[in-house]
Amino acid sequence: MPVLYVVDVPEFQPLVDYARNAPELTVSKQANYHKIEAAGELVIHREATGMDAAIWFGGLVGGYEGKIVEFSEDVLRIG
Amino acid sequence: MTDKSKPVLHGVHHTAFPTWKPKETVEFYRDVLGLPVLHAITAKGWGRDEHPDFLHFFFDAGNGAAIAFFYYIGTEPMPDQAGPRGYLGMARHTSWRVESHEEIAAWRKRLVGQGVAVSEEVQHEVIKSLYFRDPNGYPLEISLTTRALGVADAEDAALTLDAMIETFVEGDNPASKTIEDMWRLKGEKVRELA
Repeated sequence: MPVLYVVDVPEFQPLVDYARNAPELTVSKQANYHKIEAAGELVIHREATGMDAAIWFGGLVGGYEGKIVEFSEDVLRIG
Repeated sequence: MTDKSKPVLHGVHHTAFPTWKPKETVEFYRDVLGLPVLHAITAKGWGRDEHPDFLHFFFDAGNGAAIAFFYYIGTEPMPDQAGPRGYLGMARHTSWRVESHEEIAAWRKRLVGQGVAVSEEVQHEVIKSLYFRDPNGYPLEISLTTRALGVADAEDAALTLDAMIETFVEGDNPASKTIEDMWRLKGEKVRELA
């Protein structure tokens, strides 16, 4: 199951907010990280998060599980 | 536990750079930026053939920090020492601190007014920055901290640096590794946290 770990800091909170509103994603807490999980592919669209590209491209700093299918200016897909 | 034997630093005293444009350098830092001139040293080249006579002069960058230049008399310019092209062009740079949104806006207004090519304000993860260059081509930045760093930042950074070294230096076939490999290793480290 693909997982994205998001550091619990304000600049990455839009990723967590996005995941909380996405029915296919679940969010739990893991130490100082938010653990975002998906049963299938984990997909986040940058525009829907409202994040600027400069911060978006740093958003994987917390690490992940699975395989990165796509990480572009528009979308992150972890399979 | 505090290690009382461990020495500490108290911020920047000065950083120093060579210049082959002494007039433009003085005019930029003293007049365009308006930094006070603090001190100037003029010296024979320590009696060595390979060490030219020089001036070493300092501008006040605030809060006890200075930016300084060496002008080695009679030496040939080495423009590639100042502003390399490509991704290295901004890597070795100086960033000065400002304390408010008003201050960073005021600096942008001053630089534009003085004819300096300056970026828009760029919001990064924890700072907002302006970017410009001095007459030598040295990259300069003015930064506003937009949030305080905390324990989560420091602990995450420590794990990231461990993942970097394990991925790109100590792991198997490090030359083949990508940032995606490092992020995956980071994920394993985070998963193991209590």
